[in-house]
Amino acid sequence: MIVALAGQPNSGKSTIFNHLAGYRAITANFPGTTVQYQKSRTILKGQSFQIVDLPGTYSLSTSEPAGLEALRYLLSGEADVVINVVDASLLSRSLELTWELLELEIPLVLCLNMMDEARRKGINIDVERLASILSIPVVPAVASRGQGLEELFSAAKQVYKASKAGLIQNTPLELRYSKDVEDIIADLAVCLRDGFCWRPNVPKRLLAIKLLEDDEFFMEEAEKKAPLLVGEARRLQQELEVSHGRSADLVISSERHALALNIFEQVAIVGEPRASFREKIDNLLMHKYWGYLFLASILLAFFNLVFWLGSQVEGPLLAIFDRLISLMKGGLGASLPFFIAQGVLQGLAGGIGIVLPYLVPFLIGLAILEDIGYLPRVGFLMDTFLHRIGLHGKSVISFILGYGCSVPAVMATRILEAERDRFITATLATMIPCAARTTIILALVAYYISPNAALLIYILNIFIVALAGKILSRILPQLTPGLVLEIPPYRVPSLKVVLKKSWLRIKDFIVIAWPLLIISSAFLSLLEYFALDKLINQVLFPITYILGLPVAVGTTLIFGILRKELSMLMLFQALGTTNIATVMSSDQIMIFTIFVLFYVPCISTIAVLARELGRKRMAFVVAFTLGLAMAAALIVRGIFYLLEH
Amino acid sequence: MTLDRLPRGKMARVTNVFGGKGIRRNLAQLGIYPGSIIKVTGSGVWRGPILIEAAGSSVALGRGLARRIEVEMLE
Repeated sequence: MIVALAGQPNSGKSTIFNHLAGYRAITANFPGTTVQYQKSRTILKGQSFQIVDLPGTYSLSTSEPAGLEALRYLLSGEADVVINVVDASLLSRSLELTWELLELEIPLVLCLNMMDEARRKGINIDVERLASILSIPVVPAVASRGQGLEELFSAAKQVYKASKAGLIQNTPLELRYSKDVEDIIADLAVCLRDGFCWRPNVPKRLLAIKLLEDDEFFMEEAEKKAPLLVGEARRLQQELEVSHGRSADLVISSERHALALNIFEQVAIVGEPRASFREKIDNLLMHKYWGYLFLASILLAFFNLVFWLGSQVEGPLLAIFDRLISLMKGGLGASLPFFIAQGVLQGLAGGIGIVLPYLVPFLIGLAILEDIGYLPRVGFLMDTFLHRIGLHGKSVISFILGYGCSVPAVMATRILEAERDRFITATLATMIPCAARTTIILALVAYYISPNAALLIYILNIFIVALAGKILSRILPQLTPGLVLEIPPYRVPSLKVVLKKSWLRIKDFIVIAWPLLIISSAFLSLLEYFALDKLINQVLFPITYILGLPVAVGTTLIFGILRKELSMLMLFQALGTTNIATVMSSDQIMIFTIFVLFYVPCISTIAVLARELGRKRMAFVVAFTLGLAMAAALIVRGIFYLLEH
Repeated sequence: MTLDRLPRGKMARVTNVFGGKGIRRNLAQLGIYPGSIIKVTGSGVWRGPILIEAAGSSVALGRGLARRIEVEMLE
């Protein structure tokens, strides 16, 4: 049995998914965390299920990527039962999607999630009444605590059995449009029956509604597959427009609003919300002046804590590895086995001593900020600044995720409405120092120069990203639609979820990056042994020469494209020391870090860029970031020169 | 009047939303459509976004968008 979870953004679909499948889907307290659907097998009470976690969507409108993806999956007929996950505290708004799902005429169960939140808001829901109006099972739940999930899946099982037995649900009578609208839908549905239907598996009524709504995806399909039908659909749209005095899609959507509100009023009693101090927090954290002070303090405290924790571990650990390597050198001499062993050991040291000490606290901290729900608030605060570079506040979510990893940051651009905004945001997000580059900044600049120098790099980064945004929006001038961002209530993060989520992300480093790191490290050792690294360094000589860096740095830049950490870790290897300060001046460390910060996204990011934006634009991002990295590093070099002469 | 001029803490009924189909739909999904009741709960600095409450949830709206939403204040 295949069960799909569908619902509005931030309604808790992934939380349910994770509860049953083990933690596999990233959850966070902001809309649009899941952009790609995930599948998993699970066994509940002896029954094997496959669960599919669909991206959250406010409606099944195909004009948004998430809506299109969800609708495509639902129409594929793969799911046996669909569970509509609803944030009970936002019931009236959520019922509109429920109605659309009912129109798909597939077995449906409603999950009233976040019942605790609803109670806090003073909303009391008559569950039985709601079930009888919608004629589907309705199960109350608090997914974050696992409450109600067993009942939910046994309801799904019953619905599945009923549908197998041929008891197909029709759209319940309560969920009908007014008579004249229904007549027009029926007219169009009849045309679809008369041989014009190019999608035999889709309910005719649904297709008729989509065409009347002037849904871009279905209209386009109709134009190709059944052009005669388009004329009829347009005529009926006109008819609705004339009789109602507004466009057909508005007529249909306002009927949905009215009916959803009407059902809500029938089933819910809204009392006084419990006085909550959560709202009072927002008066401070989203305040027009105080908000920025808190933002700056929170970020400053965050990075300081991460650096402090990391540096406590980095020094002692690296010293141990250093001693090991010099011991080995004494034993083996400069032979081939020594070179390989040294490479492997340095790869290990890089992982344990340099990356993990910073990565672990960083990812745990980010997970906490995400789950509390702070990121959308930052979007609100930063909107006005992003406007000046031609974007808006929703892009902030990508940028902040970018501090974790560029890959999810690029994927999160899907929540943006305009294609141009998605492109610019994705390009800029790749230039935000991800966790890998953060380890470079902390382990090189903060460790060898000073924490203030590291802070300076972050500030410079924001400045350059803003400048790049300004340049890109000059190249692609267009008015952005403006910010529309739901601000979810604060939630107390669960320690278990935070740890599991961080582990999922750290695992990514341990299983993918670290082996790569050890292999690359050994490989570079071999290159050195056969003196092949000189060849690569010679090819990259123009870059290292212009930037005034040691020639041996050349190879590290190639490795950095595989994984950003590698460019730093290979630096230790290429320069043959674990104490960079002995071979590079502080100026050189700064210039190197700035170049590495911007030049060419890593290979995983390049792949996701190609998928999200297309190859041409991906190639543009690669060239653009390389040019920008050169320019930024050169300017910094020039400034150092002027300061010192 | 338009939504960007509604004073903080005041409730209003939306009377019209000016803009293309996409914008109208995005707003409607969050409970901002002709006939719905909303409340302004905050605003950003330097012509920044405004914060409103609609259909039980908090929504941040860019100033430019707020200017396209026509409302009548409720006493």
